[in-house]
Amino acid sequence: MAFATVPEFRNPEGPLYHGGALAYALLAYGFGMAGLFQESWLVNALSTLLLGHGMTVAAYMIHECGHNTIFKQNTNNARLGKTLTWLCGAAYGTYEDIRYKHFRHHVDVDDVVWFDYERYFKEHPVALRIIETLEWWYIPAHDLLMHAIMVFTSFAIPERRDQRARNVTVILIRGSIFFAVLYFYPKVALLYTVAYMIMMTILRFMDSLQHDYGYHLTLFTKETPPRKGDYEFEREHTFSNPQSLDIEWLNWFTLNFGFHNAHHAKPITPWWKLPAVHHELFGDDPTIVIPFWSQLKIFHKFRVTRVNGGSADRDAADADAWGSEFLKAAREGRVSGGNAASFLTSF
Amino acid sequence: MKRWECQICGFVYDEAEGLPDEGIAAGTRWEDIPADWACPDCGTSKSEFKMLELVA
Repeated sequence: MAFATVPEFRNPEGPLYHGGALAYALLAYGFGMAGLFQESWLVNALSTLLLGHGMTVAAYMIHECGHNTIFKQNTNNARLGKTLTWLCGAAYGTYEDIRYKHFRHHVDVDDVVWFDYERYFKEHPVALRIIETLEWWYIPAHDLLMHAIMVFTSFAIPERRDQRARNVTVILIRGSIFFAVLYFYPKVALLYTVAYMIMMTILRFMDSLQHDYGYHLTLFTKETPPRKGDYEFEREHTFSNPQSLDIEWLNWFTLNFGFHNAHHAKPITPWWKLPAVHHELFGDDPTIVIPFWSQLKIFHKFRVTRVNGGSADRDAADADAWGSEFLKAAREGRVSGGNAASFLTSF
Repeated sequence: MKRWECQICGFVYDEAEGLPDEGIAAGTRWEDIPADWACPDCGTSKSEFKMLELVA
């Protein structure tokens, strides 16, 4: 996928920050993959972490591409975003579908989906039990289910039947590479899978507390979204979960995605400017964010109940009235948060 | 001629180019685009756009 001309960064600081993040993602992916082939288990372990984090940064750069924060020409943002979906195992569906769902999230002030996992779990209690058991072992089974559906997106989702040729091509390319590696280098295939689950875990760790909206099955419907443009509701029901307010560089681990109120207030702000926007909007008030230790506590304590936990939270209070109460409860580690909200799974 | 940027998705409306695919001819000024027009990329309202820069 060649660029016709050298893409021009949208922001003068882009070469440093966007370029740095891209270089890191690519190098981490390359060196991480190479490290999986080494004999040393220590190198294998470090490479698995590096690969997982490289894919995580690549995923957040897809998010940047989606908001067109990187290059001046939006066609170049799209080209890069599409390329990065191959690194993150998100190429089975289309980049356009990833963006469509993500912008419905922003513009409709809602989580619009196609897959009703709560209903699925009610109808398949054995699957729920298996997923809860795996989640107890910190295996991100709920999101593995979501990504499995994503792999077969054109077969699972009737509205995407027209993507079948492309979908099958990606399955054949990625599947043949994975199974060839599994056959000749089973350890590498296993560690790659672990790295992929590390990426999933980081992404959903960040996603799980950023909104207290319920989800609505309106991804493919044409009805008028009831909260479209209600940015006051959006502000009240969006929460920031940075790694730290004191040590800014720690948030680079997830490209400042934890400054989520800032992102929703000014969605085309590039990732390195989000802390400044956060300070501009909220000052230095630490009570406006969910502390990292509370995030960790929630991640650990509710890892099983979170599989159906989104609804449990909403049952605790009317979602429209939740807002500040959710923030208070989250700061005290009393909400479960939700799973299956990744922007990589576009349904 | 002016350029206007969607503050949600980064889509840019260039008055010089218009949006022929959307039925907006080249040279159409921002003020002449209907108020109920929505961003063709993300669907947000016209009011979410900001002027980007003046183009000679």
